[in-house]
Amino acid sequence: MNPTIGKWARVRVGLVGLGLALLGLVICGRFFYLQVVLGPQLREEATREYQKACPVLPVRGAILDRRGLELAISTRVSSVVAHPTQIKQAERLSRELAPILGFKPKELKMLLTRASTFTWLKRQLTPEREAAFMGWAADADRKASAAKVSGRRDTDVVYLVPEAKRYYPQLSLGGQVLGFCDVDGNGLEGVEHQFNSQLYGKPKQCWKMMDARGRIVTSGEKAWDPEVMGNNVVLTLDRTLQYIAEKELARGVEKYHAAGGLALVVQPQTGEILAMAQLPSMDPNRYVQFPEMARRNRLLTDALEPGSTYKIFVAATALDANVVKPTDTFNCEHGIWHIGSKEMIHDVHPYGTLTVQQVIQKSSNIGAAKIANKVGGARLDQYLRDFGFGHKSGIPFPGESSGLLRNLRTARSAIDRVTVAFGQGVSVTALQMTMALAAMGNDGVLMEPHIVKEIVSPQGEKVEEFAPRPIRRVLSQRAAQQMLEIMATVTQPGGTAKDAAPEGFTVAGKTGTAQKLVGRAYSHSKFNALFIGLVPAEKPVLSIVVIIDEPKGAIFGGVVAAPIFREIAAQSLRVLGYYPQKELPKDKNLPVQAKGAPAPVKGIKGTKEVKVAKAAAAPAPPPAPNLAQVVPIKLEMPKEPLTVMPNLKGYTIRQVLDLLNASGLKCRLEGSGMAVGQEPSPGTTITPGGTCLVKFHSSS
Amino acid sequence: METQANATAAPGVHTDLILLASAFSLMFLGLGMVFIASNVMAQTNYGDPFYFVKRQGMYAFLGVGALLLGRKINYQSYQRWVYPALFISLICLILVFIPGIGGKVRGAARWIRLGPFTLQPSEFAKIAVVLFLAYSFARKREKMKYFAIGFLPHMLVSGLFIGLIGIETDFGTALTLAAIVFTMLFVGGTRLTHIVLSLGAVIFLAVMAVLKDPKKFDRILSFLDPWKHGADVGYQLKQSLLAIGSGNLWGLGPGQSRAKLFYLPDAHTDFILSIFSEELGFLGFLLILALFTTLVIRGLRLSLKAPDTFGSYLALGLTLVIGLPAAINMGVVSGILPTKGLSLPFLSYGGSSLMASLLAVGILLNISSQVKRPTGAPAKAAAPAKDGVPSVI
Repeated sequence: MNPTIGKWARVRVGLVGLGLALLGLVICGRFFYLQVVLGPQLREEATREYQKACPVLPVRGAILDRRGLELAISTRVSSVVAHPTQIKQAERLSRELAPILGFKPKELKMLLTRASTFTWLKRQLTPEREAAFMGWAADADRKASAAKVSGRRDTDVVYLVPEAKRYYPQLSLGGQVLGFCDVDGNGLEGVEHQFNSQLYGKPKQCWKMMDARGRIVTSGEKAWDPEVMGNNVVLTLDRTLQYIAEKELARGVEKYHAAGGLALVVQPQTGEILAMAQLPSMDPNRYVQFPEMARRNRLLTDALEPGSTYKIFVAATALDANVVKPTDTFNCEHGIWHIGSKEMIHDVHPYGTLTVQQVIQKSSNIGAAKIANKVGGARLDQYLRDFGFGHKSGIPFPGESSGLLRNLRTARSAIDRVTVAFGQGVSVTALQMTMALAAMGNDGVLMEPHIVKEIVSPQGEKVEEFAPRPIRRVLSQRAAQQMLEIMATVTQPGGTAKDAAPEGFTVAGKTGTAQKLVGRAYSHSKFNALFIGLVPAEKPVLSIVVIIDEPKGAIFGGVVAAPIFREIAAQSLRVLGYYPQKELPKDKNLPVQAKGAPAPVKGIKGTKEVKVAKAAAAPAPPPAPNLAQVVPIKLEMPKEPLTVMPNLKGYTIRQVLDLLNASGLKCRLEGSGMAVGQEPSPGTTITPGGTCLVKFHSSS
Repeated sequence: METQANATAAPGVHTDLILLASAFSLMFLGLGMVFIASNVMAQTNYGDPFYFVKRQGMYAFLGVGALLLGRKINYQSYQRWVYPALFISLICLILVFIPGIGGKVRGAARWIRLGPFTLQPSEFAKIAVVLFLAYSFARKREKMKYFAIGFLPHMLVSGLFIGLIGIETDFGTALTLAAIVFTMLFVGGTRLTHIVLSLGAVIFLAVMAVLKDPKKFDRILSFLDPWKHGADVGYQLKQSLLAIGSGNLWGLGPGQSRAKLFYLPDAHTDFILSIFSEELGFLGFLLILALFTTLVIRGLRLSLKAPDTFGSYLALGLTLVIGLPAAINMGVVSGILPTKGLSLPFLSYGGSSLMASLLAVGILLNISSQVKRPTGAPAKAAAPAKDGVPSVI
């Protein structure tokens, strides 16, 4: 038996080997061709096959109040999208999904059978619908796995995508200032509209890796992607002041069954708007439910007749132009002054001779008209325009009205020239009035109104800062000071608004009661009750205008608007850290709503605080007998950064922030009112960039 | 392995370490690849990413046992078991059609259920047929050139097996077995005219069948242009090519395959090489090719050196049992051969295939352990081989 195979068999084995080797070579060549020659191209093609470009929707920046409190934010919600061209059984799918998404099956089928690769099915689902949809998807998934369906399923091409939804956590607070957005995040009104380009954010595309069932495996999307986020807009508004203004306005409006109301709080030195309240108000979260009137910011879109409040601008003009002195007297004609053959001017109460100061204090129309006459049309026109009337203030806000100021140089009749002196035949916006008033409180310099403080990038860098900008000097310092003194008498006994001054403060103000124009005639039943004022009168820190629209029961500005002014002023001053120096009895006359307002400075122990109080008290001018002295507690800012933790007990939030920010400390605040506790404790060494915790407590 | 040096030093006790190392390398690469290619799918469908690799690990364990067994049993003794083995294989191939015993997956009846596991008899039938052919060739030798002796009986027996496997609808395995049979007949000394004529007849019949149903023809030829048919019949091939192409030279990196995310069907079985090439690139593919080439070279070398004719043909057949499916599978996944269900030995998930391949390697090792002996003395050869066995592990 031949032990091994024959020679030819061996050759044939060799041939088999050769054949296999050839096969191997061919395969090797094929792989080389696929992987090395075509490789990059195929990899790219595969990437196209596996990945899908998904738009990363921009995340709109936040709108913050001046202290960083969020007034408008973007939250994440889910929307249902579908790829109709990949759906095989639209009929069944629409039947299943319609009740979940709140459609009629027919409507949904129309959407699902569209000849487009992408469609929104339902935007911004409610949490309930979202949960229902997720339940359905999980269910469908389970069923499909159980049935071992392979490949891409219909249920895989209908899925949720995250979207940003605008949310206004403070609800209607400052609603008309903030404005609102459409579903795609385009600002339609207010700051949202005006600063849309800053807030909008930058949409981009990201590539998502999908598995063959259309599920996202990896996504280029980040949970927090500053690239797509818009800038934050920091307003000058102070949420607390805004709240106070809205609350007090609402109380007043309710009390007098008024049609509405406006209130504006401005810082005279900077022109910053701290509060901008209006009624009826609007909750931007559901803006569609509100009438157009509530949606627009009527404080600057609507012009109205200022009434008697306008007298102060005429008087200021006369004083500044040295036409009159405060003590000059005018004959007020005992209530009726005939100008021409037909026209005459009335006073509400007849007066004989009044000084300029008394004309304002008593609000005499005839007196004001005579002052205006003395100033002369051309000069008055110039001054009023310098005050900012008759043209837009320049505030970055959509829809501002310029008001109406007739050219007084060319006014034909005498009556036209003089009625402007008591605010008839002229219309102004609440904003114009507040700014002009603020100019008097700012030594005569008109500031540009300011609603946006700064724009901050999502990373926290300042993109743009809006510094206070003076427009022009309208009055001399002397005339402004004289006006403050004159206006202070309005809120004193004998004035038209004895109720306007908060306890312990003086107010330089003016009342107004303007007949509303109905058609082309003045109404005898519809009025605007106004009070405008600066507080404290000696060194104003707030310029406040309150207008009540069609009050019923009482119509006079001094009765209707002044108490609202008082409440807003009192509470705002406390929040800002201005206190009457004189000790107040705790149980008496404290503003009812002064919740959270810190107690007077007294009772603070510790060397630093006492020194601070004394330092602030020392330069205060000798008080007028009936005026409580105002002590804005000023902190002595350390010249060098602090190296040890100061004792913060008794400071207000703002003071604590100023002090610690100057030292480069980051601060977490708890509570409100005055500082009662701190971490680290006083005397601890601190380093810039460190953090600390300060607890506040309301002690009133 | 340390005892290996001693073992090889002992006269007559030889283990082809190169062959063994290639086989084990492939097996371990296969275990890793099965995990990588299947984990996402296993997690989704079975809630356990290790579902397949656990099973494959167990099969590998059993397979190593089969290898040891093959290494231990003297291959000469198989001559007595040729017909029983054929018979058992035949029964098993028939059993798959019996409802209750056979398991059907996607319309193909290829498996026998054994409790929680399944057995694919066709994998073992290949070895049985190879045994039969080797035995028969060795006996007939010079008479191989006669049609009635050298050709017809082999064709009838093989044809029966091929036919049975074919009607399971496992064309891939049937065609592979046919290729093995024809190659062995060629080496065994059957007249070329017989082979050519029968091949011609087969091709003629195939063409006739195809012409009856031109759609099927299109389907088969879809591999020529997978991009055109990428959405339907060419989908799997297109995905395979995309996966392989994505690998470039260095690959996307282990575990980075994208095609396994349900894009490539059968990613852990028939198309595992695509995933492998995607992750490890052309170099990774070269490694696989080199390992198979080594295995085939060692096998063919053994067939030339085997102590007797039976051993020669057996070595050739077993080499083909591993080498041919490997080559065809590589051709299929890379799109130079029509797509047919055919697993890649050692690498693809599948217990029967892995165990049969390891058994084949075990038998090859046994043959090779007897090569060095100057004269064919089977009875004596078995004894040292027994001693050699433990040293292999």
